[in-house]
Amino acid sequence: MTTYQRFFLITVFSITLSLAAHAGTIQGQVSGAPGASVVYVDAIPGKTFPPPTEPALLVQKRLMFQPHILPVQQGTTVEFLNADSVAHNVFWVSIGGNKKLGHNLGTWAQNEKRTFKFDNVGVVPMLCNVHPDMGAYLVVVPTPYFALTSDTGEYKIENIPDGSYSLTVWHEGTKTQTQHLTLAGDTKADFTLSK
Amino acid sequence: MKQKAISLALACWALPILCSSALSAALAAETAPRNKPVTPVIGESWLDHLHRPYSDSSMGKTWGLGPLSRANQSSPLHSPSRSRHSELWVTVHGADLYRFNCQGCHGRSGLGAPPEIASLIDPVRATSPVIVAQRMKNAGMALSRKQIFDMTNQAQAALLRRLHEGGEAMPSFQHLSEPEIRSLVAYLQRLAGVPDAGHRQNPIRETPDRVGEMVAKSTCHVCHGATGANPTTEELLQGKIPPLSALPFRVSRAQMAQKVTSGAGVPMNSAEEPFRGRMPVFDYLAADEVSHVYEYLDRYPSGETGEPNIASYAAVAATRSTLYRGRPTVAESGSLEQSSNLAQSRATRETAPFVFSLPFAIVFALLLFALGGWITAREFAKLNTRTNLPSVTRIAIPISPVRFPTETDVGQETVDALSSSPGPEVRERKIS
Repeated sequence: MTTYQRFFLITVFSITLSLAAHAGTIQGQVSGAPGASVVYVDAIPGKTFPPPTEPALLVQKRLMFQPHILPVQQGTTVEFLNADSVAHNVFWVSIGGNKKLGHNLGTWAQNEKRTFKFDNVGVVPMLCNVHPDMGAYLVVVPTPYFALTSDTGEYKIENIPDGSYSLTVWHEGTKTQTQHLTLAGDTKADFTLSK
Repeated sequence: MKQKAISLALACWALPILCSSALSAALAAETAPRNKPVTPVIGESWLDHLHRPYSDSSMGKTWGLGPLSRANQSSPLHSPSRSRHSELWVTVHGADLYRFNCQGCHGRSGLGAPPEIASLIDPVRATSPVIVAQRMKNAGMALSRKQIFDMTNQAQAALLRRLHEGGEAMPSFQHLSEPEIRSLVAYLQRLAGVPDAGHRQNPIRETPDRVGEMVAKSTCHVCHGATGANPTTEELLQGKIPPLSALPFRVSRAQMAQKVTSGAGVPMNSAEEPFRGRMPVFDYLAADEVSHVYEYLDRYPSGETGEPNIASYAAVAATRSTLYRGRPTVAESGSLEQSSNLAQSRATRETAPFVFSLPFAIVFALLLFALGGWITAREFAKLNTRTNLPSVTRIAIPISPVRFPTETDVGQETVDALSSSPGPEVRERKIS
């Protein structure tokens, strides 16, 4: 092994170590209510995040919104695609309970797409006027540190810098819960939801 | 004189204006969907178009096979009234249009067979501001009137677009005219429980051919292709669905009415046929409506292929046996080709009415305007010529009594000069 190779290996190893020392993972279990929920890190004072450049996709297929729950970072552009052969409408009456932010995106046909940029934080209940049984939740969160739990409630949020945070869980049928935690490396945070 | 000239000129102008407006009205009526011409059924069946086997689909099956109970028979609402004035017209309402065009797939209730056939109830309810407002109120959402009307207008547009263009699995209903669509949508709203919707089903006068066209295109054509050879018994055993063009070779009008409205009986001791009896019974169609379909298919044969696909009903009836089976196929009955040409020409004559072409109308209107302009110019020229004549200086004629040159000529007696004065009328009459 040449000196150069040794130097390269040491550099790579130390970089990996330093990264591991400064970023961690939050994982845990949400229980107490059936179905998926959204776990996210609340706004961090003095810190802003650039909005993602990639749009998120909410599809209307087989007379359903897919996925049923879609968490996105604040400032994300969401594409609404109608994959059904029938016309669908998309509207929401509020964002985070603020009825002034209600909007009717329109009604459009198969394979057509409309987009909307969500700059306000909060839960957006999506509805279709044509099919009143259809419903979905767009959860606009303030940080890029969020996760949608599995149907059984497991979640994992990766690459969070060490620090002190408020971690919130949202579920469509229960009260929202928040817990404070100090993150250093891998951390575990479980929630038990209640009505 | 002057009045006469002016009225002549006015008439000259009014004539082309009236003519051109009448023409444009005729043109509008021609292009407007009110008088959509009856056209033949063309193309493969809708199921073939979707590559969907008959046995895997609910389409066109009207919710059940075989005769339905008598209790399900049509209500008075579901029977179109024949016009008293003429047997040539049938008056239909939205409910009838629903039966002819939609019920085969969406069923009596409009709920369809999800997921293959979508329910039409929700999309129709979405067009009602009353229902949407109530729904939002129940959900605790406050929407402004404008927001609600935006939504219902969009839903209305989507519904009409669906009817006109169809969808992935739904055929388009371009053959329906605007008044028919309006009347049909009113019935759909009634079916979906939209308040005060039923009375907007305007009655529409249709020809029997038109009724036949709607049923054939919207219901029969779902499973039966337009053209093709009359299948042999062997092919029928394999499940082939006979094309519409083969209909007059297979059954008589009465047999068809029987089979469609209440099902065809199978004679005792006849050989078992696996696919016999799988055609749905359309108990909601009246026998004379099925006759309209028969006549329509006879009078408007599909001309998309070169093959002699159909002959006139009369010619077929002459060669047809009274038995159900053993009918002559197209290939067997070469003699039918002649009468097929006859039927073709007859149908062409009936389906191609005189159509005003737009350039012709414009040229005609322009000519009329030019004629009017020329006559007006001529009359004004005449008037001017008269005005320039010195003898028409009527204003210069003294109105006051004209005195005779010498009073002595008539003695001492005073003469009433007015009585002998030449009036303007007299002078004018002289001039002209």
